[in-house]
Amino acid sequence: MRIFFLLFLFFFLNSCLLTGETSSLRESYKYACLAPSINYRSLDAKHSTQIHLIAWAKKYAAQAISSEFKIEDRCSHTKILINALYNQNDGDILSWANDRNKTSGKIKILKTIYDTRGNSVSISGGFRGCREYSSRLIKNEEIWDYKFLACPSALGWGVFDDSNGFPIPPHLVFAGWYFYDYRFFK
Amino acid sequence: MSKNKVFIFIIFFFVINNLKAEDNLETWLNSKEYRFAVHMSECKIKQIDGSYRNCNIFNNLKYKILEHNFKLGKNFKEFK
Repeated sequence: MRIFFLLFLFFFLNSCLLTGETSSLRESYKYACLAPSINYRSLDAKHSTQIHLIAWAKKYAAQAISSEFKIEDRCSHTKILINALYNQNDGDILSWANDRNKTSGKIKILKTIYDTRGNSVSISGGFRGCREYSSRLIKNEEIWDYKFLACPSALGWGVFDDSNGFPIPPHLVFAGWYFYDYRFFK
Repeated sequence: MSKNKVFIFIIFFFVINNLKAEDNLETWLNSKEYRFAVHMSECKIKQIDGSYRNCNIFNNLKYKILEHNFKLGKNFKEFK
């Protein structure tokens, strides 16, 4: 029995600590259900591995004790995200609901950056083609709101840097988009 | 004997869980959005300078000369 326990512990540590990926995130990758808002905690923990080990440990612990959305909900949210980003105009809203799990979600396209003219100084040409959107998730009447910037290619040097001057990596690259957590732009 | 039982239980647990997940995901896995997302994650276009960029049509907005070719929803509508 001890051997099984040690084997289980080994596989758990090996799969999580070395890759930084949670089991729910691996499941999302398997089925391509990668909408960043509904995988937020797992992606945030993974993202932190590229920035700071202690930040990752804290975020990994936080996501481990919180309840995740089920995979079918993650896929429903991904479905409306793909539709919204590729097909919907600014201001349009798409939604889904799952009565069995008492969950629902919405995505609103806020803005598409077509041109640099009229934008603030911080919005440079590197942002052109990016789409801002907000995402609302509801589970058992608890509400989570997120805001992301989805860009068709990576934001490079001088556009989106950390305090050391290095480009901040996107939270996720998926379905032709580079997803950036909007809180980094504040 | 007890080790075998534990081993069989673990395998049974994983198989049932996977089958259950597949069952709930049928709608998604059969959708155009799923196939499109997988396609767009892999699709690459070679540029004149030899570099590659993805097939997302919003890339056209980055290059002024291509801006007039941009049409919202074109990627998705043309995908079979």
